[in-house]
Amino acid sequence: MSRLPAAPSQRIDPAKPLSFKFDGKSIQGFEGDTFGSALQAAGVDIFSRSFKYHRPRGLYCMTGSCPNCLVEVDGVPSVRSCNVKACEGAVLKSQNAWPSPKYDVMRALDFFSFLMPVGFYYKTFIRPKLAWPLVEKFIRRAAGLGVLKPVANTGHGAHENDAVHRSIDLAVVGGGPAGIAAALKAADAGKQVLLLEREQHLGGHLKHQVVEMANPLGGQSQAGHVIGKALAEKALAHKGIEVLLGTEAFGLFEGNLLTAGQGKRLWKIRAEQMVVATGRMQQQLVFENSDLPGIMLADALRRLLNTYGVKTWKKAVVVSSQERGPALAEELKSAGIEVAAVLEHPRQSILSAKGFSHVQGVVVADLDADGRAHGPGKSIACDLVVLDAGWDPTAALLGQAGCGWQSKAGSASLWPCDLAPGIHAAGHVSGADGLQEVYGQGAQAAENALQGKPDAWSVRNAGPQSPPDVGLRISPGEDGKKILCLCEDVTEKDVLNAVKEGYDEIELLKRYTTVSMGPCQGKVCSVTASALCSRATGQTVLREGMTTMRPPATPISLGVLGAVKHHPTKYTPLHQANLDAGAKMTDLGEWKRPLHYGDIAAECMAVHEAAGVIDVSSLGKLVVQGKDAGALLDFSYTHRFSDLKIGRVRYGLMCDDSGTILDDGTISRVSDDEYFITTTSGNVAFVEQWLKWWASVKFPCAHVTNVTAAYGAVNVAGPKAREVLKALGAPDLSSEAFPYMATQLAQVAGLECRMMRIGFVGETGWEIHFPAEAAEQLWARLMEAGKPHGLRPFGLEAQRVLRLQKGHVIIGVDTDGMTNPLQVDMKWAVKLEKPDFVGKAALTRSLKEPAPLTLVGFTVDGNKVPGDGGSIVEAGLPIGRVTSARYSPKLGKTIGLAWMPSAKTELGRNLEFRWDDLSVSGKIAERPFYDPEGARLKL
Amino acid sequence: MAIKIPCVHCGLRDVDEFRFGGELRSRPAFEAGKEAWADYNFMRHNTAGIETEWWFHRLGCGQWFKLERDTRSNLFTPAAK
Repeated sequence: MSRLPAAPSQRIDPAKPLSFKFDGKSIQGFEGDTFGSALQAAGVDIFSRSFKYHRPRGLYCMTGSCPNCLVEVDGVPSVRSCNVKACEGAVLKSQNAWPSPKYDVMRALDFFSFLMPVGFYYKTFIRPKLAWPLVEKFIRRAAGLGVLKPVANTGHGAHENDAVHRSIDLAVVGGGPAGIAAALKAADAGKQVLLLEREQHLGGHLKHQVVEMANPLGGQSQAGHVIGKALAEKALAHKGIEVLLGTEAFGLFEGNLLTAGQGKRLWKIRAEQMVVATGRMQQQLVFENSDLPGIMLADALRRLLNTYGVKTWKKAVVVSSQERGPALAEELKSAGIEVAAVLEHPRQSILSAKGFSHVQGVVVADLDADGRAHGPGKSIACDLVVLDAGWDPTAALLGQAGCGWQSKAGSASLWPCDLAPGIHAAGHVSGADGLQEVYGQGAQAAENALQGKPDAWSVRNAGPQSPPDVGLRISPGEDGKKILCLCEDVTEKDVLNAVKEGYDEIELLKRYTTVSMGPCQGKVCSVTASALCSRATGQTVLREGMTTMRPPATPISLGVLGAVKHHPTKYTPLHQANLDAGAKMTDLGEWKRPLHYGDIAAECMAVHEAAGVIDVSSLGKLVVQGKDAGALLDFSYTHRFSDLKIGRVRYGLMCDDSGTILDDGTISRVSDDEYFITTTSGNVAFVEQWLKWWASVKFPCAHVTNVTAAYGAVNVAGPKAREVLKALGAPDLSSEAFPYMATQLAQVAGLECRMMRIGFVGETGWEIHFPAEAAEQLWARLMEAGKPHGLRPFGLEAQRVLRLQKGHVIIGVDTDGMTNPLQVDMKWAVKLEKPDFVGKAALTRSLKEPAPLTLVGFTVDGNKVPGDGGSIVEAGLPIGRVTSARYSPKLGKTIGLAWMPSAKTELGRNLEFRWDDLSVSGKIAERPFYDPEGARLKL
Repeated sequence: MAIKIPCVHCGLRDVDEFRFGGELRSRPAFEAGKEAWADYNFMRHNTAGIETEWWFHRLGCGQWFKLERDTRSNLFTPAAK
């Protein structure tokens, strides 16, 4: 263990040790450690192996921004161990390494990298053709980031993720000094503020600062971490501020929609105003082997030393600026690290690092004004390299919100500008420096937000700008691997080669080289790649800046994103009654409906010979009222309804203006200016919107109300249906008093019901709509009254057989998005002679120019049933398609509907069906298959 | 899309509550030729700029209304009835 003596800046508790496993080895840490800090303290130096070349990687950023510390934790892959709180008993495993990250045999790939130039998978292994499948297996095994283990599907709603939606006056992203200042300012003004912090404590960079600085709250200078703590306490104590810790904001969308992940919870936050105070991180400095363990950003080292008290190094080389260098060297020395050299960036730099699995020394040199090295450089032995060469803003969220990018004097980075309305940047992210300025910007940003003013701190500078100087980010020297992109192992040479090959635009370059496309999403390398591209293409004026930024800004598990997906389920008011009657339920759209009650054939025969009852509560039900109601229906259905007599029902077919069938149902005239409509089960919302739309366009005095949930409905059909209903006190149901296609409000079982005599299933019957709350009562009475008559409940499957016998189509099953009524033999439902209606022009034309396909009925030889969707073949080629086929117990044969070319639809034509590996024959037959005259309906 | 829509009845609400009804177009007369109908049925302006559109507030007032939207910025102005 290599720990510093206890200090007030530390957040570990040496009195509370804990242990966990890493690749089978026991690791000791303390309460307050992250997995990363405990591993480093235990002497683990190589955390992972890189994506492509299996190079060793160690802690680099300590903020979860880079890919180096990804490990598997308790079966969850790619956990950023540097900022995840360590816990007792956890089991960690290294990724992309075998047998261990320390001794990874795939490291050999690093020495064959000349075989894998940029984009090699686009241009090698193409010939012979057999090569790729063999090579692919190896590449898939060699490259990658952890393995996602399949888990058993536990069904809807069983996962632990949840989602929270919140509307708020001001959302502040980033709980550092700028964010806290903004939150306090707005909350003091009486606003509701949500403050999001990705780490477990507020305070931002102050948390690991031990140098003294002026306190923005007043009083004397104090160590940064003390000020950080004071600010944090103030924010946490404020009633107007809700603080979300451990919450990663990963998406900023238009309309100020902010998405964030907090453990297993997804936050979707709508903020009137937004302050983004996400800070900055040290920019990368690329030289040969700059990705070796032991080379890290200065703030990463500060976190390890000051926050976690970890010190595993003896001798450091520091790259810093003239102003910051001496102070940084002092910090290292006071932690007991010898400082071998402080390089004054950019006058001096590192040319290369030596070492195989850990940095053992660096070659340093003075650079001239053009960034070239004087001489071969000087070797310095060290086991730690601290990079403090400048700053990159942590501006991914601002980038997602469409900000522009600009350069700044004295910086080799790109900074956000031109923020969208309602978004304000403050603090380090907008280029502030020094605590006073950072804090002041935060407070002022909140003030501007409250007053609806535009962002003040990321204003675009006038005039053209030059691209950032890549010479400040990549050291000179042509030799060796200079890796920019830690995630994807993309080197400087790869980028330059890609530019030579013509990928000279940053978006193309990114896609071709995969630079910035790894888990860190370019947090480390994006600016470097952009600046390198600018230099390689000779740009002197900043053009595109950065590649388009998209969510997620930080890796987020799919489970969290999936948390918002709720699947609504609709139950009919007879759901329990169906279950009690032994129904096997099925999903039909959002509805649960009985598929059958155990014996489909018996259910069918009951309808033919006695009586059956089916729950049709899921039918859409609409009421259309007003003096334009009839005109609206005449216009939006193909049939005519304004002449429908009160107390009569008519079949309605709805098309769009291209003549395609949208829906069908029944329309009952209730009174002069009121109609009751049923629609297909899944389609009521669409039909409601469709009717309302035409009403608002053309028929102002027609009002549509969706009453689907208010009514339950059953269809009682069969030769004994009349007796069953009579026993329940229904009125005179004789064909004289209640003819086919009539409707009445009537008392059934003491309830006021709407009865319609219609015949979807082909036997005399009534569809009965009743108040949903009385559904179970009606069902019970019906069963009781039906028992002596042989009444049976029947399900969807029996209904499908019964309607198929009658040749009725089901919209969306037998028809598709191209079907017009003429193709399915329903010209009878289209009144082309009526004035203009939706679809009239298209249907009139299609009368003259028939569609190429026609729906036909068929019978099958033998007892086999072609599968729905099976092919009809002729001379070995598919020419038609089965939409529905069932065995009819009543007819004793298999019947069905199929699409055939219109020229091949003559009755008696032989058909050959193929589905799966089966083949049967049949022929085109006349529809309806059962009771073609419809006599049974009128009994 | 993550925008908020200014429903003429309910005020500014989340886009999830709405159904997009397409751009405002004029329906040809029955007698209009095949081309006019094909154009109406299958073609859209797809303007990069201000477009008048239909929106339906599914999870609110349940009414259709028209809005002008700048398709480049998603900024709305209520359209004349």
